[in-house]
Amino acid sequence: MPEADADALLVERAKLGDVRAFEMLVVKYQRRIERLISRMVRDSDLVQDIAQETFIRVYRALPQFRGESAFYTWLYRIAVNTAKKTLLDMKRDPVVLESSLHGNDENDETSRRESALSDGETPEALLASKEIALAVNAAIEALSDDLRQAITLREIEGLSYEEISELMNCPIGTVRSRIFRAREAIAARLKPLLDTPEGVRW
Amino acid sequence: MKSPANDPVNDPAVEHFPPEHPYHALSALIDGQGTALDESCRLWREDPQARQTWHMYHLIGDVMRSDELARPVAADQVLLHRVRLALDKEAVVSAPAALLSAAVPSPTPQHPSLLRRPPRWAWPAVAVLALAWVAGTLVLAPSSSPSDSASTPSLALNAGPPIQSVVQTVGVGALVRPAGMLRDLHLDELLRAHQSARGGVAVAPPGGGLWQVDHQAGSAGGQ
Repeated sequence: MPEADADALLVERAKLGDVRAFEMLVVKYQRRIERLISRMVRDSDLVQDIAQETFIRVYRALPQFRGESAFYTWLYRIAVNTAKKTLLDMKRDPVVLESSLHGNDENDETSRRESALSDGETPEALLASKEIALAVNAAIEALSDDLRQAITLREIEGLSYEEISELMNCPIGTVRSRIFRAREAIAARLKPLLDTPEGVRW
Repeated sequence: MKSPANDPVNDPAVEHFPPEHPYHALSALIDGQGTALDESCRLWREDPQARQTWHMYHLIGDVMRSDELARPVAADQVLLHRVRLALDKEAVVSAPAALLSAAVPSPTPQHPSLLRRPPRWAWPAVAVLALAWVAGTLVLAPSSSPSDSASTPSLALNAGPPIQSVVQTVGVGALVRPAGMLRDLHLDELLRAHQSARGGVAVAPPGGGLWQVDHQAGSAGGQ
């Protein structure tokens, strides 16, 4: 799958000592990893602590990663194990956050308790998230058919450029260009919603 | 409402808009295009706007797959910032592959002279050389101990604690293989045969070098 290839390229780069390439993987997977951990831990501060620890463990273990499984599979496994270990340590610790111990079914990634906010998840944050989702969906609706089809086949169906090229009956360079233009058009709508906090930079 | 002619993003005539746009590479790398790797990594290192764009492209993909993954940018930035600070304290994970491959030659005949079997007439000389070397290393080489092996310089610098509980432990041997040692496979074979003939007595690893044999021979001659 092309996405896995992108991971492999960045992993190899990180293994050569390019820490910045590893940062690119962090940005790619941080939301999915935090969502996974939040299935096991409700305290949002703790979720972020575990996510951070996960990425550091992954970084340290990169030399042992041979690419026999997909990078994200390996990353998810480390995230689950890190979360489990944290929960276990907290159970041993007399100072335990009760809220952090609820819900520890790591396999059930799809059964989020929609009814409750995670601890630390504010209504403002929830509203901002909804606005982002709405903006992305509205931007996709506004795309031309060609651009929408190209980005959908790529992002949702996971097809390669070659496969999209065959389906859309156009050259691979055109597929690449359409997907880029679609991303740029959606990003233009998102930018006003993605203000950078003071003192924190990309 | 915009007409396609005024809207370059949606204008079907503009198939390569804009052809020289630097962030084309980021989009291509997300889709697994290896040719975009170097340029994307350079952009990530040097251009904050490119970093924001990389984040945004991934956020778009995530939200397309699941609305649950939409969240304010601050949360993503804070986590990256924390990871970045933690990474600053970490050792570099690995030696450059170019160095590794140069130090440990491939068994495929890139250097055929190293792997070629010696001619038949040279066998006695090789055997004598091997025996002398083994004798020298047994006499002079310090016995290997667990502490020695623990202090073997590793190509994989890892400042953190081991995490065997969460990762598969494969290929560690390859990571601690001493660099700069050129191995003669035939000589290894002779050493193994000699070792088994001696009844399995441990032979010190061949890191001592031939100069030790010469030194010993000189000392013995003087006595």
